[in-house]
Amino acid sequence: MRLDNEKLEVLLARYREGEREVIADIRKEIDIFVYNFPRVCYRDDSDVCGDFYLYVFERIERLLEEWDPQRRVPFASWFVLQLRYLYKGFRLIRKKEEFESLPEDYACPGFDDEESSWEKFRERLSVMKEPGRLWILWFYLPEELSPEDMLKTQRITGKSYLELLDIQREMIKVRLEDINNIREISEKLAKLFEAITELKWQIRSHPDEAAEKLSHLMRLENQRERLQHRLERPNNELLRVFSRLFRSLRDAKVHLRFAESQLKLLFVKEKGGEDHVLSPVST
Amino acid sequence: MFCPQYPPERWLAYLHHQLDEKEQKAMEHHLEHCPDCLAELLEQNRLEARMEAAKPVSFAPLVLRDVFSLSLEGVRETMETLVGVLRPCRMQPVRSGGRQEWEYVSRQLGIRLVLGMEENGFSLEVYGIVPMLTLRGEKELWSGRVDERMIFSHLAYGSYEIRTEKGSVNFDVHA
Repeated sequence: MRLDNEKLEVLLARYREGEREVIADIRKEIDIFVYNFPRVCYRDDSDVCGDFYLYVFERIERLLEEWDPQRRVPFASWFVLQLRYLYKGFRLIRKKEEFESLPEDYACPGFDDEESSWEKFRERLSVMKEPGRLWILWFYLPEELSPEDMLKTQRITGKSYLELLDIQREMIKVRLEDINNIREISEKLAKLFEAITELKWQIRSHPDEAAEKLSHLMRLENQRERLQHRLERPNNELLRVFSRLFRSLRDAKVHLRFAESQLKLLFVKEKGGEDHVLSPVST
Repeated sequence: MFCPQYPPERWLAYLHHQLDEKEQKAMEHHLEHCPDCLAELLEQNRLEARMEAAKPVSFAPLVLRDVFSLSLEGVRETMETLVGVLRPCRMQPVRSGGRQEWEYVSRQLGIRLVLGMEENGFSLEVYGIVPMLTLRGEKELWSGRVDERMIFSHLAYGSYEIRTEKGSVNFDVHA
């Protein structure tokens, strides 16, 4: 979901020059972005999204007047910052008690539906030694990197903060795209399973029509296998981005594998501990 | 919040490689000693990345786009939306018997619309003070200032748009 910076900057320039009717076009460009902001960034539901949308659009004209094109900032970035500030005010007004439990410092929502697995994962991670803990955090939970983690990474890798921020941003994007992809494939698989079960039942109950249906069944089974294979395939793109922290891809793999084995050991040490969230490093 | 040494926009420029080398180094140096600014940058980076990668969820048209579709014969119930309320009006005694009206109050645009049934079409009354209002059907029908009340009559069934400085409302009216 991207804002069209160029188009918006042109519209905003016209708006500043007095073409007030342009506001409707600006609204059209940003409305879905505004509506989705609480959902995407803070995991809010559609009620909050709707209320936040109205809250923002009641203030939009005053807000847009603060935009200064001379500041060399992409509009989308500036707008996200404004939405962050507005969101804080919005939550304060909405309900004070809700604000107290506001996930201000929480990150990485929606990585997995099995939240408890992630809780266990975080617990083990907190007792891991450095730099293994750092590499796991960078690879699996890039949204949860703290200023101290950045400082440690900077000292280990010698990279600038700006480079590290670039890598973090790319890791988050690739991870989220990976999750979206997994969800899409899983949905397709679920539908296929349904179709296969139905077809098998039909074959059993009408054996005289089985020949035609069997070939259909085989096609579906092939599709299912292909999708499952795609689901199990490691995400090389994640590793490629992660490897920017190291001298080479090989280096990145070695460090990550070692960190993963340390973490797995922590899981194994506890009775019944299972590794739910680690995915295989590509070979 | 970012600490007061640099304005937030400067940090955004840094984040998007818009500063020259000297400025960039100064910012890097500041980050060495300022966990608050670094935490803010991490949060900003996180949100920007999430917004870029996320797939949008569209909202229901009636709820947020200030759009409605009205069947003059069919609507009997009040529809309350986040941006407006559409409800059947009580008949006013000055009007002829049997006339049906619906009122749409748009909180977003700050206007009230009253749609009344006519033979082979409908009438539209706009209530509010609007410096510039444009009514479009298949083409632009009217444009100008509304002082408290404006009446349009003999409008044919179809799709319309009312546009003001605050936004627009789109609606379909059919028999």
